[in-house]
Amino acid sequence: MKTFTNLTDHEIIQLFNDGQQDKAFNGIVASYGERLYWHVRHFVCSHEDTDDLLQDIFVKIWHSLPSFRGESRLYTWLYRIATNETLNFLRRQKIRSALQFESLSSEMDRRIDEDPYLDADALQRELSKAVAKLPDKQRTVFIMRYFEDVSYEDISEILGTSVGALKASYHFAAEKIKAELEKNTGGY
Amino acid sequence: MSKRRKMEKDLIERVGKPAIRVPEGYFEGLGERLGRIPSEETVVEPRAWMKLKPYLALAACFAIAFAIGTAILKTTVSKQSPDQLYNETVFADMVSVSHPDLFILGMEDEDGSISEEDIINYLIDTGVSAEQIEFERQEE
Repeated sequence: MKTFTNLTDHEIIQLFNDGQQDKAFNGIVASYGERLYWHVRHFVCSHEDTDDLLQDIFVKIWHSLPSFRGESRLYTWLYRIATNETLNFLRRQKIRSALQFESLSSEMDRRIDEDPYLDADALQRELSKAVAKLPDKQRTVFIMRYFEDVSYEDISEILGTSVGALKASYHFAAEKIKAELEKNTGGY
Repeated sequence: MSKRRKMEKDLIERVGKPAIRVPEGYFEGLGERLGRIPSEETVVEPRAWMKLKPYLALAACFAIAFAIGTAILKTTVSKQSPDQLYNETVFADMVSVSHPDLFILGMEDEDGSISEEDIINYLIDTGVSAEQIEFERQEE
């Protein structure tokens, strides 16, 4: 008997179409819960925030499931929801920081430095800080390519951007990170 | 290998990827916690009146705007009967453009007749001598 952990996207959609919404949702949780956790974690740089945000993302997925028409793959649909929710979360944090006359960038630096679950050397911490400073699009592409090894074709489907534009975004992001590392570590 | 690819590959090789951990047993509990969402988040079907809510709000806005407009007009426009309005229109044609005061002076005599005093004043204003006026009065 198959467990929820090894259900394919097709089987999950089949369960949903058969009216077994709860089982379909549990299939999504089992197949994508951990993957989406890592996806979000690379953006927000905090386990606690990731945990809260993941709950919100799955609530959103549950409510949006009836509107899933199968026009895109389940995998890309889920990643799109997670990415949009995460970027909205970061925008809200940016506004909150601005209202408190603080910068989100320095807040992110502090989180990275104090993260007890991050096993990284000084250079890798600088890399995480430099990623956090990137504009939304470049950061999204960089995280998905560098940390998650998602193909350009899949990122293109998730973000609705051409592969060429994504490659350019990744290159600009890598250049900015390289410059930031050279500035902060004196030539890495 | 292009310069671009070399730079990107160099970044991965020299910096690598930081290792991120989660608290002990986190993923074991995650599935169970997220799996409770369907029972906790029941989908509420909107009731009929809720669907009409935006239209009702729009109608209420129009009603408020109409009420405010009517109230403003009532306070700024004086109350006049249709007859009064007609008379004002008729009199407007009778007012002389060069001597509008003549019309006002004429309205002062409420019974509509011209007194002897009015005639004398008029004659004086038009340059008739006092002797001539006196002569004409005696003739009458």
